[in-house]
Amino acid sequence: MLAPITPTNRRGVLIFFALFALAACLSACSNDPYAPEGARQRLYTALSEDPRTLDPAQVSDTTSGEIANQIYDALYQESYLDRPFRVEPSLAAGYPEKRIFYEEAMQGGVRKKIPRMEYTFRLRDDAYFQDDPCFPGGKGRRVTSKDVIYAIKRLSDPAVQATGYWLVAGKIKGIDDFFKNASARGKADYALDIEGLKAPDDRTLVITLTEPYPAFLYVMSMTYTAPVAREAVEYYNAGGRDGFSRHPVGTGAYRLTSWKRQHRLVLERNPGYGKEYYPTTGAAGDREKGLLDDAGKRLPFLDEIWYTIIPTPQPLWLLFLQGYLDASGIPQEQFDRVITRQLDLSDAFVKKGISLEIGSDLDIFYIAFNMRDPVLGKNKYLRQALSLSYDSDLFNQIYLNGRAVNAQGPLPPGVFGYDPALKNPYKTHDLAKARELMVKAGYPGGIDSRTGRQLELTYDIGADSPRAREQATFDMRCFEQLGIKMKLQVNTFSQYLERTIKGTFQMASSGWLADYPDPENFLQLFYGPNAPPNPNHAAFSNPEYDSLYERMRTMEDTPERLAAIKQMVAITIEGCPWIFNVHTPSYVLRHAWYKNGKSHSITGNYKKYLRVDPGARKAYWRLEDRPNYTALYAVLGFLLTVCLPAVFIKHRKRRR
Amino acid sequence: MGLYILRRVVLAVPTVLGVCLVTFLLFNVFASPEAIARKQLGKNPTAVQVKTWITAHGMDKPMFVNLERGRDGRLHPFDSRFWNHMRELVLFQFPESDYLHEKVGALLRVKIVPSLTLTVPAFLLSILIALPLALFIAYYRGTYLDRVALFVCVILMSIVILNYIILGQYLLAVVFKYFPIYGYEFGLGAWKFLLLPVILAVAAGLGGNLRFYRTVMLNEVRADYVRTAMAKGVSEERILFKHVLKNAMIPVLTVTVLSIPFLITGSLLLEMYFGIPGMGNMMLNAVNNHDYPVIRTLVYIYSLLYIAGSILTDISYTLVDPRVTFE
Repeated sequence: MLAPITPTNRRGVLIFFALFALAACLSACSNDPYAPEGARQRLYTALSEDPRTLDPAQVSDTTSGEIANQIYDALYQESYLDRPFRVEPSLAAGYPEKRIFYEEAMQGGVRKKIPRMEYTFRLRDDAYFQDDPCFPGGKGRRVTSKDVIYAIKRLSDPAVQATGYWLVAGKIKGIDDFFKNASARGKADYALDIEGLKAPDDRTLVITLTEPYPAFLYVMSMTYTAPVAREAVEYYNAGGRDGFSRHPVGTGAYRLTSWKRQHRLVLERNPGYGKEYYPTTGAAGDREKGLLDDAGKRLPFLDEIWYTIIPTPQPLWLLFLQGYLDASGIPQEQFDRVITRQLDLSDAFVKKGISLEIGSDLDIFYIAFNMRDPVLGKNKYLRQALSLSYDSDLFNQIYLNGRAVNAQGPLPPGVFGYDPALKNPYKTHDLAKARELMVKAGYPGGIDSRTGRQLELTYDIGADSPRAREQATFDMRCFEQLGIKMKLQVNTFSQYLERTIKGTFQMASSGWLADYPDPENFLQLFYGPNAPPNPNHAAFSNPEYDSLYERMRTMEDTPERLAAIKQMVAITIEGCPWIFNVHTPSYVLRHAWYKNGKSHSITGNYKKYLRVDPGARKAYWRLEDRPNYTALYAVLGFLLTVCLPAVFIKHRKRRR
Repeated sequence: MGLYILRRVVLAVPTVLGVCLVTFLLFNVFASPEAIARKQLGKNPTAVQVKTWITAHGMDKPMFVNLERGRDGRLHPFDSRFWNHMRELVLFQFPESDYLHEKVGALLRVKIVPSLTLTVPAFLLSILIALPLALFIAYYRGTYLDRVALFVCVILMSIVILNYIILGQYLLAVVFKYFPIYGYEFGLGAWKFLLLPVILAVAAGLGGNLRFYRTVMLNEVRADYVRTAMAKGVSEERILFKHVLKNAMIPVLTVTVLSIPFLITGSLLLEMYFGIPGMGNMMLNAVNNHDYPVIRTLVYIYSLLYIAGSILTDISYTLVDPRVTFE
């Protein structure tokens, strides 16, 4: 029988409703962080930070590159499955026609016949910009060769603050004059022509280079040279609008639908994307791995890509384990749990249907010597002794779980010219030999034989994290074995840049990640004219090396080029401007529903090849992510057990 | 009261200017314009590009006083980096973020909402839970429950917030799977992502709050008016909830009102670990990416909020205690 609500039982009713609301709230709780996806094929992935910009002229970091690459297609692209890396046509209809011709010009005060290279590119007929309000009627127009010229001109415009000018500077005929003119005015005059950029018709583009430069095709595969619609730049950079860097208008397989800073970025399939098909051939073993199951099917497969911005590795890892991220790397602290001693995936992960792929990043980590430093720069034996004292294998074991490759020279595996048999005589971690070289260097036992004082060297690092300090301490302990006193200089990244630009450091920890898979991208780091503020931070200068570099960069991948590269590598080993430390591999884990995944060390437009099986993912969620309320009831029960006796005692006291 | 507030505001001006000066010196002494430009311009920028960037950001101007004649042939002594920095901050004409290429003011408007959705419920719940609990413990003073509560409070206070976050995230989101580990949704869907961080924020502050409020309550319980009320036969609940609570509000307000302006600034750690795209996250991101325009704007805003908090606290005294006046 229902009782009337009186002041005495009103409290009880309120408590009942409060408990009911709490129970309802808890039953609605789940750990699923996403809105329902329906029938759409959605990929869940993560970024460690926000893209800086989505203007293709400004993209220089890997995060911005990852997004911009899905939105902007260039004339060429890195092939997805083939190894070694190869460029293939994307917006271009086939490979370009190449022509080498000679022109008379003044060089070093002498009139010479200089070889020039002319590329003729033809554009595909079905390449269209995505639909966008910047176009008449909101309908994306067809891409023309003038859009590519406009994109390259933007790289030379100081007002754009482009980060990719270095790729074309001095290479395209007449671009330096255009740049100088633009610099003098503060902004470029786009009506001015560049001699080496011609558009005979809408579908043809002719680029003349100042010298043969085969790596130019890599340049034409980068987002920097992707066609840009001038009307999009003008529309979004107009007053009152957010800017072109936040409103990309590209030709790629995906387009931007939302970007909430430091939260999430969503791309969706571009309905007007041209006809492109999944590759029918791949590298050895790809067919067995199922990477050719979708051969010949129309791209892209995914309807949406959800990028969640997760700066810290822990949540990213946990979300992956719960199935809310489709792929992940392996945090260092989890490595032993995930990977066995035989470098296989542990059983617990295999049972969950997770797969492992070990790829190689095109990178090198090194310690640079400042060749302009009066102590280190002129003393080759001292640099070689320091290199011999350094233990890259131990570094690899302690900080990289033993997965890295001990670098013997500047070129990483996967790049033309990399020699797996190369043995650097100064990378053997031989302390006895190092001490002998210290005697030759004039520092027996680390003591300056002229002054009798202990040698003191400063070691610069560009990050103030505990991990960076710990690694620096390891590095310094290696050198201190030679009797040298090491001093650590911890910098913010800006301070570090300043010290390397001004050359005020002695030794500095550094690294380089390839922009494109050509040896020239690594070997330029020792080219004399690239001394600071350019990327030759060590300020290494060797006339023989410079002459070989100038020759090598104009050559195709021939035996002659290989011989030149070998000579250059030998010079860097003997000259020892760096201690070559390690090349790092990439370990990628993928869930069973993630299809067609293949690691690629160069950022590219690879998301279009991926496919997911949403049914398998939902099944995983049902199995792995069911809430467990037993513990909650236990805690509530415990709290009641603790509180009730006290209430009871107090109540009895009051009644007495 | 108006005069008092005006006096406080005037006295705050040197403090704010001091903060502006210190931030200016910090960001202009430790990194040269060239290093900042090169950091923002990526790999291999040319000297011209660096120079253009520096000019576009006004970093080519003299540090404090501009003694060079301008294009119009006249002297513009205040067209210097320091005065431009001060003008931007004082007039709330915040610059553009070097990292996100967006006006800091626009970013702030977007970031305030997620921060408030986290901090306001956490703040209110902290008070709503800690105050009655403190009264409850005060009511049971001297019993084992009081002693156990004190012991638990000391334990709760001794644990740093990071441990609450990591353990809470692991237990409640990973092991028991009640809440999402990470993420946020704008709009009403946000509640799902806010429950766990709010619970952890309340739990992390509970020990300290409870102990503080309990001490305040017990000080009041020993007052003469409580003894009088008890002698008159007023029930213990009535004494506590009607009389003691009201009189204990001054020290409570001192702590709570001072923290109200900081609700806007968000919680750095909670936002970072739970992926709430608020002000705390923005600050962290700016520090990680050396985004000086954002850092200096946020430091300035924090200093303004601190001053606003202290003025608000003084005002709130008069509202709860008629004995306090602005005379």
